[in-house]
Amino acid sequence: MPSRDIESIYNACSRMVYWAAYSVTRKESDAMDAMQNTFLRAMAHMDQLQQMNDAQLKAWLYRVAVNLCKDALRKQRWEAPAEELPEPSVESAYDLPEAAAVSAAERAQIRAAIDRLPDIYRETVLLHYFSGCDYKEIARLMHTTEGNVKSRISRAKQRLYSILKEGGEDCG
Amino acid sequence: MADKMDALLESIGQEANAKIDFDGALAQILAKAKEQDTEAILEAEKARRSRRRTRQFRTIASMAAGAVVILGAALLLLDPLLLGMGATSGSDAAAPEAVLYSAAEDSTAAAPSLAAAAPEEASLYEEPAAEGAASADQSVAPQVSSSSRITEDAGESQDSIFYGQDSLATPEGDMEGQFCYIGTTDGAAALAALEDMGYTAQLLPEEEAQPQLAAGEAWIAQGGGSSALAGGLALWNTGEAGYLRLNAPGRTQEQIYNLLLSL
Repeated sequence: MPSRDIESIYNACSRMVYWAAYSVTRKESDAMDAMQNTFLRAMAHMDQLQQMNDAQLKAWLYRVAVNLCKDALRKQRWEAPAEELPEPSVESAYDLPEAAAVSAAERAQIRAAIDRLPDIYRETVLLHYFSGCDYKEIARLMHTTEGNVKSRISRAKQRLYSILKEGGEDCG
Repeated sequence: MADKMDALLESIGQEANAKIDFDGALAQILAKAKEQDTEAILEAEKARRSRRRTRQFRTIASMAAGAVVILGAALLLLDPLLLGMGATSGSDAAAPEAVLYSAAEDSTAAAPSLAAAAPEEASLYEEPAAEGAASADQSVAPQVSSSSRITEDAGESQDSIFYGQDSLATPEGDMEGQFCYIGTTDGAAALAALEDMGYTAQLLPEEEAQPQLAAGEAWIAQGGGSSALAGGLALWNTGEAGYLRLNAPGRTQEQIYNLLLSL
């Protein structure tokens, strides 16, 4: 078991922790606070963390971050109503531009669309595309299978298409 | 289309990550950790001080309690007022005895006069017997023993028997005498007994009552002198029967006291 220090753990896991926290809070400042508190706890439990392998360490950090965020939300008595989005049609007419050609306004629109995704899809998207976790890691963190993760990613993308299409139509 | 969305989301993710100051966050985390460590050390120090203070307080309190207990016990042992027991009050009571005893010693020291008086008393005592009154002889006999007892006790008994001195108006005039306690009795029977022994005695009428004498108390004139009026007179409050006057010329106070006591 390699000896770890807090900086190496932070460099390896900070993005994952941040976006896991963001998926719950949907606020950058709250996510940042949660991430800092998570690593402070990690520093307090370094002896315990030294005994873990990488996967266990990430799972521990993820669980602590999510729990801290949920506790904070409970304290704030703030519950964001989960918006039930209509099931998107499989055939989408929205023609997505190349990534480089997407304007800042459109990027912001996509970010907003991600925030509007149901919790389970939003969390999966953020962990995969923002924190860089692969399907296997996400499956382990969320206690599910890789197939489920892939399915959630696929459905999340379909929903994003749908949201963007509605937005494009509204703009057009 | 899916590839485009993947590329777009990855691009947006990288952009979002670039906006986040992870290095600054790490610095803040380390600073907070240091702050928490300092606070923890201070808290631990404060807790240690508090524990030490509590320990010191307990020690001082227990010492104080122990001192109070010891002091209290000492006070109880030493202070007779707090103790309220007979041991020390007995010693207090012993003081007057000591004074009386020393007075007795003093009276013994003044023995020449007493010793000189003794033969005279003895002769006076023997006179009634010598006069040939058989009844008197019989009555005197017990008195001899009691008298001798008093004589053995010398001045000590006199001091302890008599406790006050006053002059009373008598048919013979005002006479000095001392008070003693005899006790109450049937006055008529006492009178009869005295008369049987050859003494002159009488129960006083109501108007001659002596209010100075409480029930059972007697006043005996100081006698022993050569004068016929000196001594030999006693007034006794016998109780319900009233006051009894005894004329016993030539008898000392102790002899009269023992006589009355024998009734």
